[in-house]
Amino acid sequence: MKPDRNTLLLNIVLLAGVVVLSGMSLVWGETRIMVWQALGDILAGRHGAGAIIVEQLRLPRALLAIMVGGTLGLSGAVLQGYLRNPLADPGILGVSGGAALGAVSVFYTGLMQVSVMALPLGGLAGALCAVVVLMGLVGRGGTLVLLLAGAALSSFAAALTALVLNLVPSPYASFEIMHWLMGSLTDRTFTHVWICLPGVVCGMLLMLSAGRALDALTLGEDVAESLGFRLHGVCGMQTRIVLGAALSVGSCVAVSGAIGFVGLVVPHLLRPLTGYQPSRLLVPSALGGSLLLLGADMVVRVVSAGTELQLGVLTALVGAPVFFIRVIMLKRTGS
Amino acid sequence: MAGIIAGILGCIPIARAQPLPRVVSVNVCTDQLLLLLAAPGQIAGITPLARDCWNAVLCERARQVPVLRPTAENVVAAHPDVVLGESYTAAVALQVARDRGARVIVLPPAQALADIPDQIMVVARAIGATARGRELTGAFASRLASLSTGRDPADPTAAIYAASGFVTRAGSLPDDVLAHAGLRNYATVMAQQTSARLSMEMLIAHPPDLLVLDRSGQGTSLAQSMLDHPALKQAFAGAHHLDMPARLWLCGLPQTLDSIAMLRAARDRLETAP
Repeated sequence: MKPDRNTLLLNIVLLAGVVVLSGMSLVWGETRIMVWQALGDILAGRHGAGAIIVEQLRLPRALLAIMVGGTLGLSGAVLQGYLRNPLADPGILGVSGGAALGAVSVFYTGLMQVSVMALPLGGLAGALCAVVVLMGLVGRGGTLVLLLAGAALSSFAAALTALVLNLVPSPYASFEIMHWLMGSLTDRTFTHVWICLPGVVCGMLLMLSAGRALDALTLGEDVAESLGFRLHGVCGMQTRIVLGAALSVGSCVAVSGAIGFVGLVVPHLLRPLTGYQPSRLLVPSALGGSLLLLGADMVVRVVSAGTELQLGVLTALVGAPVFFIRVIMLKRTGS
Repeated sequence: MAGIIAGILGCIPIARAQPLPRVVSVNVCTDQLLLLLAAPGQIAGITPLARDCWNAVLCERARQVPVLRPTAENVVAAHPDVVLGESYTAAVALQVARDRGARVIVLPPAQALADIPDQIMVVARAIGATARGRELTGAFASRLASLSTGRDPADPTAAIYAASGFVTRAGSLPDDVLAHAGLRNYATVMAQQTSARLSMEMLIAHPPDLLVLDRSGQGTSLAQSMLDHPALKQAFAGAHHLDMPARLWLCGLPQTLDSIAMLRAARDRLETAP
């Protein structure tokens, strides 16, 4: 039972980190405001400048960092476990790119005026198409096929996103490609939190429910099936993972843009601490993703002078070296 | 009466033996000056942007004249006698037109209300509509005099906030409009800012008395949706915010004076509001 206690300890440490960083991101920002007074104003229902800044600008931002980071970390861990491949990540595999394309098609064409829920649904549709195409392309192929399919899918989605942004009427649209390809949490509202939440919760629950099947899968598909886990079919593990990842990643990308490398780097860093068992990696990866994104968002806010840096730039700066290391290791083992 | 006079004045150049010069404009601002001044049939082409009601106040009138994309090829093919352009746009088209012997008039963007009558007269003289130009500048001067108010160091401050969080700085036409409406430009008052962009958080923490939202461009985008953020709505409620169509002061035109009238009204509301 020792590894279990370790995982619990790890979860507590990560959760504490998330709580501390969220608190800091409410207190710390571009302007110095009296946070205690602002909190008092919020509780009393007064609309002072500080209260508006904390409640309407910093709080949705922190909540979205937690939700988006958690989603990306968890879906990275689940996809890595399911594909039995340490390079799986919603960004690299083009799932985020597909979601961004879906969201862009809804946001700029005015479909969102019909209902705000159209935005996460667009992201979901895009992500779902991307995952289905990916699974179809890769099948039982190895790492190389997976990465090639992901590269093809994400560049195709990025090209289509740029095309849509060029064709829509708004003169500002074509300059916003960076937001959708790199991601950012600047100036999000509580509306974004609410439209993102259902997809994140349902998607995460679906993915977490696949945990024990992932453990069995490490022994091979036949063994997993003989242990009583249904891999395919309507209620099978594949459906749950595909749907869960598409739901949560789609909703998140629809409000934040595609933030890369979180799903790659977080499970990779935490795997040695969880005893290489996929099901134990899931919760820590979600918490770790939230922690990474909260931290990255704070750095973005502090280093920016004038124009704010995209969040994805920072996660790529952290994540790309991990990717390099994995590629070098793959080359050495010769697989 | 004024209409009859304008009609007579408009007929005088046509009655002259010398035909009026054919004119092409390659910039949305000169497009509109041309639409204000030119006689019917004199316009050989203006830019398609002039028909976009988000950018041009004279978009309806622009639908009745031919448009051409402002490329060198199109300008040469139109055989204009006079070509109007702005300093920073379609430089190649202007150079080619000059080489082909057309008279090229290049106007800098209007940076103050005082530039507007000057520009009207430059275009009017070039296209043979001096009388119409005088009439417009006269009306402009008297309306400006009736609208503008003296400056006071205690005037309320106003920030002009545009898509993506850009604030309008000193030395621009909107800045001069603010001054004539009896408002101090927030960007000049908060001079320590080095960037032309201002975050919502800064704006809310150090609020101006009036937030002027510069509405430009059709469609939806992240940049434009920023102006509708609930935090701004809450921090600048009621009399403290004003929606301004950007087309009024995108170009220096007689219609720019409408923006002064809107700002004066907003300033009056500020004084009566609690």
